[in-house]
Amino acid sequence: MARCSLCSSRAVAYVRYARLYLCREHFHQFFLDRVRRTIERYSLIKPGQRVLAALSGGKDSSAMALALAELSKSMGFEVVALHIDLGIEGYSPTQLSAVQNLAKRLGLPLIVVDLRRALGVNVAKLAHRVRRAVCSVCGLVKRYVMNVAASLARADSVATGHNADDVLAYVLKTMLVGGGEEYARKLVPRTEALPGAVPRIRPLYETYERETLLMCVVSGLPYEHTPCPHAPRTSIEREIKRFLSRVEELAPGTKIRLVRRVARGELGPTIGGTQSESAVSRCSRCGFIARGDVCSFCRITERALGFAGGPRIVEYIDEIVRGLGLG
Amino acid sequence: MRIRIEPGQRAIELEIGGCVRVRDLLQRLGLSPEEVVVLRGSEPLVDVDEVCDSDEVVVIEVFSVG
Repeated sequence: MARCSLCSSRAVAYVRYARLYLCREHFHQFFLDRVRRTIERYSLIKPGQRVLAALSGGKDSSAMALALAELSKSMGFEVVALHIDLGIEGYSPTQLSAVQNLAKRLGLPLIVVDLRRALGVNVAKLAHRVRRAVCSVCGLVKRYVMNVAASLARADSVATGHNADDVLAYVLKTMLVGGGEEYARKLVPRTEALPGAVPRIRPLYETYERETLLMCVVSGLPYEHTPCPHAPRTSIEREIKRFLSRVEELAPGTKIRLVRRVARGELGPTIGGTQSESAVSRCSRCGFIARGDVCSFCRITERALGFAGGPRIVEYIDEIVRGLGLG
Repeated sequence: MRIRIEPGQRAIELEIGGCVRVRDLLQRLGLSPEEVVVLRGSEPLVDVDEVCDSDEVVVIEVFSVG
């Protein structure tokens, strides 16, 4: 039986790049320390700020929520949770339940945005009506709702559960097969504040995906590991993650070194680094960030539903936020 | 040894003739210790822990799709 390198209790984790066997308690502390150092290294959160933590119900955002909730006490910031119920049959109800249990356990106020209640359709129907892939429309909806909720809840930033493996897999996929350059450019630890857009932060930027799963297991956190039924059966990103893990086994620390290079913009002008946004304006329908006269969300909902969905989402979230006393 | 691989609830029966280290078990399954978390009951195991024929082991794949 392996013993913890720090206290000789039973080890439950081996952190290869740190050459440490850790018990439950010391792994928990190791995880929190890594997130705290990431927050400090990239100036993600300042004392007194409010962070909106976007929670899907999966392992990454659940582990992030735990870390933020615990660090908020010592670092002096506030955390509010957000969940978007996309109305996906056989998937969304269990995700919502996991988030509700998590928020209750961590004592976080929770904003739940139910797409069907707000717009009358689920994300699959919305995608079908505009003849686009569900994942593409889902991403658009989530980015829009996160931004509106953060703005109305007076949050200084939106925290997402993207980990080092997520960032590297997307960046390397973009470099290998092309496409997604605009998104890859935004895969930085913190996006810049723009008129009508709340900055996005990624507190798990230097945390491995395996560590988020282990954190959920050792802490007994509620999370859902069921894949979304709309997710592709094969995924280039998943294969890249597996490849990188084998490299990590041979050369521990590879992923951290690489993700720091992405953050510094060393992998090319279209990857990570400092953002330089093209001209942005305010949407004439909802007032949030747009490139052109109408934002992508209002444009797509107008096509699908015959009305701009932005103002309805704003009204819907505003009521929830006021009810929670956050506005 | 009974092995359940999640997510997906796939079950594998493996006869190893005694006990084996987790890292060797994973090698037999074609998996890297960096892409899975291995549990016996609710207890996470590390690569040098031993598992035996009488054990029930859960292997959780970290990089599930979706």
